[in-house]
Amino acid sequence: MGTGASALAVAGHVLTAARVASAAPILTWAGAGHGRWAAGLLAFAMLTDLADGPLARRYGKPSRAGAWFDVWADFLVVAAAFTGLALAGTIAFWPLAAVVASFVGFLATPGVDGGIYDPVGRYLGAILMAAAAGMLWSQDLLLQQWLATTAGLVCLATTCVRLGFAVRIAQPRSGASCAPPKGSRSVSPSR
Amino acid sequence: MHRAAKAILSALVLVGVAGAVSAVWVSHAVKREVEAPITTLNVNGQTGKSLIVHHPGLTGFQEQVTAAFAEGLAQSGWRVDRTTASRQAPSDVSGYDLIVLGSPVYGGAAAVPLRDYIARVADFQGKPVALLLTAAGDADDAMEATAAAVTTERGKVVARLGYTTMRPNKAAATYSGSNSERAVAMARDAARALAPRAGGS
Repeated sequence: MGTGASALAVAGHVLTAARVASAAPILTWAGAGHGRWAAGLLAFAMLTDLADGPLARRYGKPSRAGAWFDVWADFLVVAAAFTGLALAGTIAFWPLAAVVASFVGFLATPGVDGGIYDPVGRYLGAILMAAAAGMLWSQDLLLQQWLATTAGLVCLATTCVRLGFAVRIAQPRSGASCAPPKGSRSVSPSR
Repeated sequence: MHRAAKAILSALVLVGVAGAVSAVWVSHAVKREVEAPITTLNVNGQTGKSLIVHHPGLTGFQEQVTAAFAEGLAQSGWRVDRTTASRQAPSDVSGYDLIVLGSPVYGGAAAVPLRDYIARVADFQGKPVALLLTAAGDADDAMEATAAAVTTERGKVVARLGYTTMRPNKAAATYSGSNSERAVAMARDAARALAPRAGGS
């Protein structure tokens, strides 16, 4: 039982690694115009995303490193798909920039999760993977533009929410040293 | 309500709002005329005078393909006037020997500004017209519809060129690079190949 459980726990990491490995072919196929091949592989990556977390929690020891590995794997796959789509001329580059900005925003604000309510951010990886799979599978520019624009707006909204909350959380600390105590008078330094 | 259900519902609402905003913006953007001045390549071209009218679309792909096609024409000795499908584009084509119409394919049809331009010209006076469409997967239906519209307005369709982003462009063995790079090279070569035939008609 112990051996089986540890094997399943390792399988979780293998699935995450498989997701990382799928990023390169997704990028290559999307850029080469094999949209549906890339969509198929992205669907596989989405399945690994569904399975790796529960396997790690159920049979292994969930760790901070494992969680970060999962986040990076999601980002690599999503970035590969959006980059391939942009290089193919299917979508503009700004949704890709929004995806990168949202990830950078996530990396820059790791400590604010306790203070913010960010329901979209929690599912952002899945939302972006679904949008990318739809764009890769679709053979219609109109639908692809709509999916890309929606994904870009969701990323921008999430980034703004995270950064906004991070600034609000940081402000009281920095403001405490600068603001004059209640009841005190301000004095000009020149006088 | 359970916290997880609340989070999922909130995410759905926010994605729904983003989707609605996006739908409004995209449907407006693909129909909007983009005005641009006429730019001319190879002013003293001796093969003939060509006019390229295209809708640039929301990505750079149509623009790249159209620019490559214009270069190909110029290299074959054509004077090339290029502009976008708007009310500023010349609707009198009597001074041209070749007209090239380009557009991305949205929802199975060429973009509205190009269709409006064809209707505004109303009479292509039997001049040769080349169609240059870009699509995600298949430009055939849009090509047929655009060719029919041009023919109705007395244009003579001499070339139907469709390039795709999410389906490999043909002649992969002949061209190298990414799918979009192949499309650009193919458009340039197609313009070179088209020139003598269209010029003679």
